Amino acid sequence: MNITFDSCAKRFVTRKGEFEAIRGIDLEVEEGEFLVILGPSGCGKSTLLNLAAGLEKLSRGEIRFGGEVMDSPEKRLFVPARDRNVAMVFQSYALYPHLNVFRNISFPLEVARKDKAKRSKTVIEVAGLLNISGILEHKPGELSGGQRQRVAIARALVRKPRAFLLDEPLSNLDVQLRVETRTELKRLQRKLSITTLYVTHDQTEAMTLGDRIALLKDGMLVQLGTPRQMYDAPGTPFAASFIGSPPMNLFPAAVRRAAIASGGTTLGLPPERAKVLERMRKERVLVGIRPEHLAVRREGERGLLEGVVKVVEPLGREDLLRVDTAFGELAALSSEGRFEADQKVWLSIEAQRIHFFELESSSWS
Amino acid sequence: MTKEERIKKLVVGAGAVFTLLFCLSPFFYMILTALSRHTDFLRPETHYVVTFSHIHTVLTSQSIHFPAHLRNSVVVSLASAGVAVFTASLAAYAVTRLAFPLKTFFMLFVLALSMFPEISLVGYLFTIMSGLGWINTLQTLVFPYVAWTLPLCLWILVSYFSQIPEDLDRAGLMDGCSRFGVLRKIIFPVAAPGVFSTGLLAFIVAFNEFLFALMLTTDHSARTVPVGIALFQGLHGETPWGEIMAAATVTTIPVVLVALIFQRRIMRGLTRGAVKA
Repeated sequence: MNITFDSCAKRFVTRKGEFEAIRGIDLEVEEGEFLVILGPSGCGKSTLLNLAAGLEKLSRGEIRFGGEVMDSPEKRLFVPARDRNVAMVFQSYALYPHLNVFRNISFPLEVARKDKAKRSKTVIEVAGLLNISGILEHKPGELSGGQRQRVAIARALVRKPRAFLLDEPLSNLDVQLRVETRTELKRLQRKLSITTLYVTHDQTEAMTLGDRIALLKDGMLVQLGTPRQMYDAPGTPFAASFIGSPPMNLFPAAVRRAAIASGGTTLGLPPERAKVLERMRKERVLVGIRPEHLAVRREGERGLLEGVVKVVEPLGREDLLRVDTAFGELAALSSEGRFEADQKVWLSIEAQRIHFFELESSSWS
Repeated sequence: MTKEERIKKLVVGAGAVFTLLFCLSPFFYMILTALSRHTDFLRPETHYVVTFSHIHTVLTSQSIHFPAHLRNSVVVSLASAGVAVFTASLAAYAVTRLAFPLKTFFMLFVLALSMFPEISLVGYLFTIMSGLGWINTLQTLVFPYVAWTLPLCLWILVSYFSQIPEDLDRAGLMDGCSRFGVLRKIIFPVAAPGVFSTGLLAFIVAFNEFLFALMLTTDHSARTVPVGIALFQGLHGETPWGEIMAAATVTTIPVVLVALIFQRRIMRGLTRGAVKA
């Protein structure tokens, strides 16, 4: 089932006044797609999920499940959560503390008045799928975080929902478990090919899990695309800095002929990039280059950017160097090692991977 | 054990013993009197002779009507506690889960209502009840008791319900429950110790109430135990202390039993409410 958000808006009225959490979002989640809603805290991503779930009502716009209208203030139509047949996994897991694992998983079936034999069969099946058959008699209080997570997913899956909504389901797990569960979640989603909306603020999760990523900021959709597209062609400085780790270097520079310049230093561009820059018709632009597209050299040569290492942050596989250059402080990754603070270095830029943004486009940091 | 620790332990122990004695001595005296043949057993010339005759009299005497009083008390208290807790849970759920204006004002207003002295209401209550023709019926007590215990129940339950994370409600709604289903299948069971201790408190308040029961009932068909015991004295020429104490002892037993049986749940309930108010 596909999910359509049609110019959706959500306004909250609080004691301090009105607050617009979602301001006009158009989004189509394809059948069987794993769509990640990514954004910083307060961007409205959880609100968007709650709107899809039917836990919140739209202020404007329309939400459709496979063509069927679920929420439309204009048509005075609202299908409550219990009639939407979508399932949700919460960050807090929200397991029922008074029921054991078996009853937790079978709860949606009990509410739907399925007969007992069928209930047991389904619960055992889903528990097997998630490797929790051994803990069915336990109460949630006796389980570890990872086990609770599985129970929550099992409870969501047991009803064979039309869509699967996940609200930061991995943030309460420790790092190692998070990585494992991530892989497993993706495998599970592939296997069941169920339409999935996944909310997170973690760009790594978004990149690894999503078929597509919807990047949100201040209640608006900034960019929508595959992880590859988001990484290779960020549409705004915000998208550029939010996706990718460590984040992209962004710095203002003056536009020259087939080159950019700052503080008397000029950097030549390959023809394709120069054409892009020319088309922007600007005197100054915001330049973006990812740390992994900067190579650090010990010896200088023509066309390289000279700089001084300020800080070395070892990341294990490679070191993150903060290098002071004519274009400001740039982060660069180096697997070569043995660079030290205050050392003079030269940066070689993969010039075809330089991005340009308009300077006036607000808040690029 | 150091000297300081020993002294500390001694002081704590002595304090506990003193508190226990202070609280329990009236009960002890009550039971002693109930079981003594002579009520003046403390005088040096009388001996303490154990007898069950007072208890027997209280339970069987036709003129005292004690079993009827006890039955009335239990019925009235159970009914008012049940209605009060049920109504208060609905209100508490709404207060903790829904956004509505003047919430704090509403809660304080409810609290203020419970602060009227009983005596200021009893006259009007009598007029209302006689107008309804309800004087000397059980419902004449149940309704005022519900009104009387409702604010208390509401305040306690709000503190319990507010501790239950709202994600549980959301999970319930997603799993197909209605709002009422969430309350019945999730909130109630999760808050069970709290609901239970609230119910017990409401029961005890109703069980002990005297003034309304005195004014609104006229004989054993609706009279409750506290009034019944107080009016023992008028029946005979002298004050029948043995029977009074026997009746009081019998009355205490059900409450103590309930408290003992459910001690664990109540303790959990009381402490959980105390952590966050």
